Amino acid sequence: MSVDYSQLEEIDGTRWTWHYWPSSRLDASRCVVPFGCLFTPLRPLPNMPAALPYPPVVSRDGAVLNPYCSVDFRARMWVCPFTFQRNQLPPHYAEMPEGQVPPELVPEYTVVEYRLTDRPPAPPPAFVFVLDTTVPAAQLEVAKEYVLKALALLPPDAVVGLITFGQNVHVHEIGFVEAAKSYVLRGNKNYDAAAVQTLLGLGFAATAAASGKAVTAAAGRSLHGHASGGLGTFLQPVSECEFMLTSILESMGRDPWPVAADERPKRCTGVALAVAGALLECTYAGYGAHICLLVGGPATAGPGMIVGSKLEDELRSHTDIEKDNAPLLKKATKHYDELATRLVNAGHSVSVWGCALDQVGFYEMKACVDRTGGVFIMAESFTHPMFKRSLEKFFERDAEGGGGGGYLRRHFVATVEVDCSRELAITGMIGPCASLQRKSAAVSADTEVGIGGTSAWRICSLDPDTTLGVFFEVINPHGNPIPDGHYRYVQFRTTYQHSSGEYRLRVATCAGRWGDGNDLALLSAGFDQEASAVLMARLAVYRTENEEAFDILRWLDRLLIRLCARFGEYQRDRPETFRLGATLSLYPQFMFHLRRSNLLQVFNTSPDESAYFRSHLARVPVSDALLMVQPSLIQYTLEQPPTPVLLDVASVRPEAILLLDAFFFVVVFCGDTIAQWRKAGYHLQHEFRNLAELLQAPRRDAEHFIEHRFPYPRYIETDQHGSQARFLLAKLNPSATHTTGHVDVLSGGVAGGGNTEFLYTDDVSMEVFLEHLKRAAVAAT
Amino acid sequence: MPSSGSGRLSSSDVPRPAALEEENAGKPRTVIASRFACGGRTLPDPVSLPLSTAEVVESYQVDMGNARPRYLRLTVGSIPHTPDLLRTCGVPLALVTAPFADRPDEPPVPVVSAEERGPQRCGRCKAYLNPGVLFVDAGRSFVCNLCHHWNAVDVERYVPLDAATGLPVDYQQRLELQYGSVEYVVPATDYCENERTATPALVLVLDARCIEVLTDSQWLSAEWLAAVAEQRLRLGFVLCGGSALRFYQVTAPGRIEERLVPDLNDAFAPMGADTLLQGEQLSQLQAAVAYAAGQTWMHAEGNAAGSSCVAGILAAADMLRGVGGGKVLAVCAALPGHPSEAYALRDRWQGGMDAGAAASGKPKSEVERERALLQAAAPAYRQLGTQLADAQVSVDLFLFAADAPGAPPMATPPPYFDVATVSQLPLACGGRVRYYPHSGDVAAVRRDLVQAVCSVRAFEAVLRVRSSPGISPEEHLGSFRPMTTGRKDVRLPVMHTDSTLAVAIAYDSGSGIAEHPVWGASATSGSGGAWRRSGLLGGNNNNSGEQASPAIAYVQVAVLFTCPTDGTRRVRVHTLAVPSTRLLNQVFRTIDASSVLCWVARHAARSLLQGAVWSNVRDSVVERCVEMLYVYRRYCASRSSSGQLILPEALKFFPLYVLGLLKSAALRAAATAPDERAYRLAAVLSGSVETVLATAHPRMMAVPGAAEGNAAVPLSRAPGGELPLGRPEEPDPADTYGMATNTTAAQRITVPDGDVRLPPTQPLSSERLRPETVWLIEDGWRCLVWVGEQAAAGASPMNGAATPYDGSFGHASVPLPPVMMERLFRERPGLLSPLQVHRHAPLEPLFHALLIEDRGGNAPSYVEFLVSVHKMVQKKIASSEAERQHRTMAEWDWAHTY
Repeated sequence: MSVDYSQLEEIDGTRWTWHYWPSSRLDASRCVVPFGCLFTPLRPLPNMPAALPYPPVVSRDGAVLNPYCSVDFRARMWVCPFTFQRNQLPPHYAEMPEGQVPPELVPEYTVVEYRLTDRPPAPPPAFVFVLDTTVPAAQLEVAKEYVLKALALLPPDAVVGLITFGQNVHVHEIGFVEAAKSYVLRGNKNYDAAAVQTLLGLGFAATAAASGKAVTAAAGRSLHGHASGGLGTFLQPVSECEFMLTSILESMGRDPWPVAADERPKRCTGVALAVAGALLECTYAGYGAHICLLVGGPATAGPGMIVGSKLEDELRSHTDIEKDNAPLLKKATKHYDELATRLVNAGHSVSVWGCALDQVGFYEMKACVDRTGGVFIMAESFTHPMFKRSLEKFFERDAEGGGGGGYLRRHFVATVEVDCSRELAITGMIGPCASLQRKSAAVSADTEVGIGGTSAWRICSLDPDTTLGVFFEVINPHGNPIPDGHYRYVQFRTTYQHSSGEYRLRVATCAGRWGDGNDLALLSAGFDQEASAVLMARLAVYRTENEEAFDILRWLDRLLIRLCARFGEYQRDRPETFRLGATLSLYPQFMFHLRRSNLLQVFNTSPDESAYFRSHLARVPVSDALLMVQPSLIQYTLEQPPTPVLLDVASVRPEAILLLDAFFFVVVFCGDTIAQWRKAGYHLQHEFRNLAELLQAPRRDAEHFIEHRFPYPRYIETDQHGSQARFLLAKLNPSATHTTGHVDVLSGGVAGGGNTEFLYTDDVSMEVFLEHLKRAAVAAT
Repeated sequence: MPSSGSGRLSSSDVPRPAALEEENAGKPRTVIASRFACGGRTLPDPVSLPLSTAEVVESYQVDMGNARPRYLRLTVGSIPHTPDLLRTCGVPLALVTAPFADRPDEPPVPVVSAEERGPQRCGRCKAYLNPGVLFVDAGRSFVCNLCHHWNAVDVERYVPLDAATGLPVDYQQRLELQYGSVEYVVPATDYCENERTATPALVLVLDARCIEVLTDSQWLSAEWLAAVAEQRLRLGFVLCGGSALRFYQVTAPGRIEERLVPDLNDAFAPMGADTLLQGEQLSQLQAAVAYAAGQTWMHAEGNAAGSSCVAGILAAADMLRGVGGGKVLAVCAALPGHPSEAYALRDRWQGGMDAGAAASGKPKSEVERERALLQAAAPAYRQLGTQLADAQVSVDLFLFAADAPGAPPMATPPPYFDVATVSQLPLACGGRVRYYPHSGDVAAVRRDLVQAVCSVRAFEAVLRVRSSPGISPEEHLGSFRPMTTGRKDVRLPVMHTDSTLAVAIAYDSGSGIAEHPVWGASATSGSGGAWRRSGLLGGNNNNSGEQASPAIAYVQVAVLFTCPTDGTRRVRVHTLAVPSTRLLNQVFRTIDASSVLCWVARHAARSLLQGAVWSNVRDSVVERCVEMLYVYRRYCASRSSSGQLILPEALKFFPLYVLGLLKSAALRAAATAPDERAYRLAAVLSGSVETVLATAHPRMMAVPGAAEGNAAVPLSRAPGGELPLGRPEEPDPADTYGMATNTTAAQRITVPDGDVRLPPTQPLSSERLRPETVWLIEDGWRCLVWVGEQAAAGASPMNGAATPYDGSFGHASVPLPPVMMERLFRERPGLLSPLQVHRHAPLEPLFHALLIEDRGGNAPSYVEFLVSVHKMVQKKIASSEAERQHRTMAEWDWAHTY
């Protein structure tokens, strides 16, 4: 039995770890891998009706009418599948002609979207660019150019603002044409929203934000005619301020403060971000707004600084953090954590575009990004395609919407509410979200996984790829069998501000089957090993980041052993008899690569890189996340069509080209022989056209991978034994190492093995890992 | 010696400076040659300056081995040898120094290049070489005249001595041995506190309400910016609005960048020192001003209560940090400070009124209230000044009541600035405060802005006074920052031509001024008599069988500074040699009344600003005068004139000055606006000798050609010509030097023509106010033109309100010769534009207040004052006689003293 789970994902945007759930709490706990799903709230689904123009029918408990409800049109009643309460239908449903059902009741339409036309539309989304001006002039030019490019990509009514920073923070007044006017705030001082409000002379919206009331849409879609200082002066629709913004950017030079030869430039990233946050908090609270921080180095001044300005002060490493030898870390993290809380409350998100060879402080800033639904982009410089292409991608628009170029793919201020049947409970969520602290009956009373204790989460900014990991537990007691024909239901209700300004509600209702807890064949048949691996990865990463002194690898091993012990077929204490079913067979591999991946290993990885990888893991869909855990490797040879090969050092062959896709980077790796052919220029000769074709094929495929990926991956072309080959080799299973063969010192290859590649590593190979696993599994009691 | 019986005193008999000036009217310029020869082997001339201030100002001063009085003067020309003698004569011993008071028509201070090795200095006291240093031991050593230390001369500096003169053979090249004032260019590495990256700069901090000061583009470019360019200064500009500081940068023609710093509580500069304008770029300021003046916020923020100038000053200082300090010119339209602070200070003003009224049921006595208001309300301003000084920043504060432009002057009371409090800021960092109570007097502000730029002579200055063994500098009075290290240096981040410091000098011990080790020894052995000039002492009293003291007292003022024009580090050294004397008479003969007045006035001003009791200060000033006259009367005057008031020649105007000081806005008993009083006190405390003198004794002069009555007054240049050195009546002392190498008896010098000579001053009494005359009177701040009824009958609309001189400040009904006004304004920085006063007009009391010889209110007239002084002297004599009879001669032998 083989199910293509990615097909199921196309139906409602969810990937469940288990499809058959044991009906009792006890049996469920023996399944090891948590019950849950990866849910992509705004995934474009082929089988979804156009957005419904009327308000949804909502039960007293908040559940929305869906195909799984039993509806009595005549009595104008419907029964909520979660609470079994009877609710009234609105009058016009009764008048519906026979045989015709409203779209939300059509069985195929388990996901429907409503346009909440009763809510006045929100103002267009705001984007505040926070630009670092301490980078080298050439880099700054490119950064400026790309800010301008972003303006061109934005719809004309989108609202933008500009803040630049170096030693101080400059808030540019873009609604003023006579001169380039900016407000300058100290870079070494922490300004709260009230201070920024007074200092910048911001207007009315701030008072509403401060009092915590929801902002009425008085701001409306037109930003003019209001006395609000901030909206007119610092934030303006692109169409109106483009000229001014362009001229400000064009004439803007580097931060003028002198930098000593042995110092880093003063860079008050933390304050700039806080000021941007406060500016939006005062003017745009409750509405979609996004802060784009473009930074080219570590924060060296003010709250949020991560390193002193002397070059001799080193940036913290993982070892420093472990040994508590990073004196600025706590303060900086606290600053960004507090800022994140404010941002979440106001519904605003932050993206950080860190373009530097050095670390810029992702590790400290991660709360600001991860909790608000923003993204980290890491590139070596502003001139690197990773920055440029990602930025273009970020501001991409969809085909929807009339007029100029559609709406932004990015939507705002989403609230995800989860409801479920009484037999299960929500334990938490891991993803780019923040808790809204809303308790409901569906919330697990005692278990918390990730961000838990609530049934509603806030995602300040999300795109169609934003994926949440949702965790459930079975709470049905052991002695309480569930009658046949009963299903488990989960409903996701995502209310969000569409980039058109409209408020929308997407309701996804999922039904699933219960199974006998002891019917292992049934349970494992419904096991989605990919989704499980990804969900486990998210959980492992979350626990690494949020739980102190925790040996995550041992924990993962233990779980894996328990899973194999439960679902494997074996005879006790005879490892050679161990077999895993087809649906589980890849799972140990995934775990093996997860253990080795940069998501969990910090060796040779800076704290910033770890934060970067982990942040993306927590927002991408299953397929992408899987590449992070276990990259795909495709082999191209003259003899065969492209074939996926094992992610193993044994796959490296001189006469083959390998294409590795590890999500963050894509490597095209030419075997020795092919590289020599190419160097000899054979591919340029007419008779060796097939070689030229062979050289082209992986490039073409790589381009295809890269094209739609966000963030734009690093693309590497290398030859066997080239310096860049390490990108590939680091990902390979070390089945052949310097310990397994004889090293021929003269040729550098392995004697006897001919041209086979090997790795200098002490890591265990997958074979050894699996051997150990088998032994442990069969020995388990 | 003018003296007459007290009963018969009439106004025409009393000594008046005016009479002296009238005498000098047609004469050529006086030459004041301060003489002293090298080696300390001869006695210097006891310096005695002409009694007429005008004559001193006009004079052509020549440095002949001694510092010119312009730079350094002592209250006495011959120093009392012992502290006892000083105590007896009651004269304060102090020096008054204005190290940069250069005059364009005089030879400049010679510059000595010592860039390589630094100047030669005493190894112990670090004094600089000067004409008083004695080279001995064939040139291998020199004896420091300021500590008597015997210094070995370095091998590479060794110069043999000329056997004939006993001077180094390169004496002719050694300017420091020839002149009392020299300027060394010193190596920047050794003579620098901090490593400097650039030369200091200038920042203009302007209250937005005062923007009209700059909006005259003609003035801005042709005068002010030209002055800045000429001084080769770099310029920054901060505009202080009510809610933010504004900084401008012109990135391209027509492209202005405006940066606002809204955080007034924690102000800083958003731009670095590299944005300071220089040379050609200065015209960018005009563009920025034109832009700013056209902005709407100007009108919106115009009514803010306080001024954010303090924040602006802090930001300016922040800007200057990058270049190692400099000058901040801050023009404020209201109480400078953060708005909340400004309210507090303003409340002080109103609170003083209301609380007083409430407590007693009737208003508190004005004088009492003033006393409270004269003390600084908050230490913050002084602290700020100190901080700025430590960052080598000096602030000039221009308090300009710009609130109601167009309103007639004096129509509304000026806004309250709390000068007493805010003036602490400039005074603590070597700056000045200027106060313009009349809205619309933009011209005065502009003049002073130009003056403040033109007069800058030194940055990052450290001043040190050294003196002979036996005496040492004590209390410094003026605008400066004392060094914290316990040394007696003072820091002056910026010095101007008129930066003046007064320093008290005290004796270290009862034995008085120490004898020179070589000089003194040879004197007692009698072998070195050849170079001694006997009989110089005492002059007219050769009765001295007592041993004539050969001691010479030296004071050396050294200022280490950065030259603004070329950025070099320099030391300007002024050395003054004064003979000491044991003769009371000699002391009195050489008193410099102006310096004494300057010291006394400064002392009084300091006490008042610190909250001293009003009447005590006034009494002590009078007492000081009476004491001196009493001593003179008692011990120096002939017995025959027992019933007369006897004034020593050098002090003959002193009672008038004291009376003037007591009647001036600074010290007068009558109620005065606290701001005005505080300002005058601050001006006295930091101003030049001339300023202090003008405060005590205003100048009244006829306006040439203004009316028929003034027709005869000439306005010409003071003639120079070929003049013999020294005052003509003195015998040429050159031959007695015993080394006629560089000064010959026949030496004559060419004296250039002086400045435009002002009309002679008039006695300050109303006796000459006739209907057909026009008079101008100024006291260093106010300038009033009194127009008689007939003089302006046709031209002036007698509207009561005064009409000023300057075009932008109304219309002049009588012509004031521009040449004269120009000279006046040049001479008196801070002088307001002239106000026209008519008889019986509301402003006339202002004018009469300045006529100090008249009786006014409770204050006595000059004659009455002299009479009362005389009575006090008599009383003292009587009481001392009575006392004397109680004592035996053995206990109380005055004769021993002299």
